[in-house]
Amino acid sequence: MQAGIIYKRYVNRKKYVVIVLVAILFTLLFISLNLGSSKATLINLMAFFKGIKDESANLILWRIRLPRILAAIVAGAALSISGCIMQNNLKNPLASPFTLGVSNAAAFGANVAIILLDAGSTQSSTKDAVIINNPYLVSICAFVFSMFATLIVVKLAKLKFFSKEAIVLSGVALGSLFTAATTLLQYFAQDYQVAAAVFWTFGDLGRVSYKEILIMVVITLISYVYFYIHRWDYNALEASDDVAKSLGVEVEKLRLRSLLLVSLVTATAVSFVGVIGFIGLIASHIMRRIVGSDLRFLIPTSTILGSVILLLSDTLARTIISPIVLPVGVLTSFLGAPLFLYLLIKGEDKR
Amino acid sequence: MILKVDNLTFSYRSKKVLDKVSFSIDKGECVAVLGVNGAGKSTLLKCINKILKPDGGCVFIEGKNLNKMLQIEVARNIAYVPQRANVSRMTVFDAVLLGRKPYINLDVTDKDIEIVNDILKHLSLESYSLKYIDELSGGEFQKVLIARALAQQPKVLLLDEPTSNLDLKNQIEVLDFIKNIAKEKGISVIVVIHDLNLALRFADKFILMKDSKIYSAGGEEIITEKAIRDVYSVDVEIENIRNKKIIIPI
Repeated sequence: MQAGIIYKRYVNRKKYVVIVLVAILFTLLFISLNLGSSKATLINLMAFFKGIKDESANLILWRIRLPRILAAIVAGAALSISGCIMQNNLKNPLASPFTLGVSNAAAFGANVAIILLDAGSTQSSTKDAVIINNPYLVSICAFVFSMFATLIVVKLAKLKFFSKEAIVLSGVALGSLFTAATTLLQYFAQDYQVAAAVFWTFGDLGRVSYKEILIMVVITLISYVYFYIHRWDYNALEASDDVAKSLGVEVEKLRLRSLLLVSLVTATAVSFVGVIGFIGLIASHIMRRIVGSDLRFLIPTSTILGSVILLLSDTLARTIISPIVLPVGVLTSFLGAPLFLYLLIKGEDKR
Repeated sequence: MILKVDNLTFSYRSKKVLDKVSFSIDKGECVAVLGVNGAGKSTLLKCINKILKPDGGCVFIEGKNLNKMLQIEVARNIAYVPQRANVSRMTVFDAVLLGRKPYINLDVTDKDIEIVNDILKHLSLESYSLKYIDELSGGEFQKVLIARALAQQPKVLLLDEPTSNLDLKNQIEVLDFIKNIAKEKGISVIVVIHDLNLALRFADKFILMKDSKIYSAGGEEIITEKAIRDVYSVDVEIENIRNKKIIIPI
């Protein structure tokens, strides 16, 4: 049983990575709760628990910062788990909702809802009153279009002569197609509709309500459970489709269901928080270097790391030039783009 | 009789790749499938364990129809070693443990770990268990793939050109190992192989395929100069050296 014992020890070491990541996430959560343009800190929170009421601090902590932080955690998890599963299912290290045009398609769907179906803002005299009237219609439209984009990518990926690079390229093409369509929509829309749409597209964690967070949590959690249950099937896929089938995996069914769930998760996240790039790509790539391509560990670790990265980005976004809050998508792309380039260069190196 | 292939037919687009292929094999038997490239050998293997869905015909394992089985039940009976497999960043132990996939419900059990442990020991891969498979040599990697298939505890083992990447020593070592384990555990083996002399050394039975059909099937006696000429369009002489048939192309 020598090799078996050594192996078990090796597996246990990987479990520590999960624990460390959870610890980092919680630390960050508390730091982030303490930071902000207002002076409300955890001391106010302690006071709250002791029964001393400080209305304004409570408001800031519970109504502004906490939902924002929770939104970052859930959306980060949703986007990175999507990237992780896409990379595995399409056997493509560069696959993610963002690089394959799924996010752009979702954004287009949201624009259709806001502009054509009038789910957008009501005209209002106050400057900040860009309201999405019907967030569910926006989400449904975002979902339908991201599904559409996903199905196209799946179809293309099935073509034998389609290489990994071609899949990413077709994703880029799809992405720009949807971006162009979005621009066209906005060009002919009313000012207030464009304002609502552009504001929506920025990627903003501040607008999410507890109810929307709950929806994201439920959908992400259900998908996570599905993905985690099938971790061995995904590991088999890493070997090859034929090997996976010979190991009893119903490959076509698994791939279709997984990618449907991925687009559901992506669409939900994108429709509530807007387009946030690169999270889906970075998290799973960093973890692949640390825990290897074993999906048993890659799924939980990249999910948590996605939360960590988005929370960190958002905390930076609202503190760097406080009191101005930068769109978080700007920060993740600033962090992500150089890493993406690095991975591309490194990948070329190997061949 | 453990495996019976009955009238198996498969087309790729409109091209027939398998045309009413029928044969059967017994427990512990090693069968070599021979023929030129494109004769349908690899397709035959893939149709047997439903990697490809045949257009017609049935495969029976111990009398049970595979068409009526779930893929996971097929995987508990038949294991498959591909010609090529992706080399991902995975340790040898993980790669072999994957062979337990058809039996894993929620997570691996101690029994799964023990089975993998024993197989690694048997193949003297124990010291490699935490090495990454992308760092292995061709021969070692081939052994890992075979170890994975054995971890499935199959009744039938399908091998697609298991020796094509190996040097002479490893070719003989791998084939001898497979043969021994087939006899020892009563596993039937079907192997697609190009080297006729290796096939003669290894197999009990032969299936010669030509143009999507079985040209002939049987023991060593079917390997004749005429059969080789018909199937491969190559003139050969067959000599007996130390009581073994040796095929020499002329």
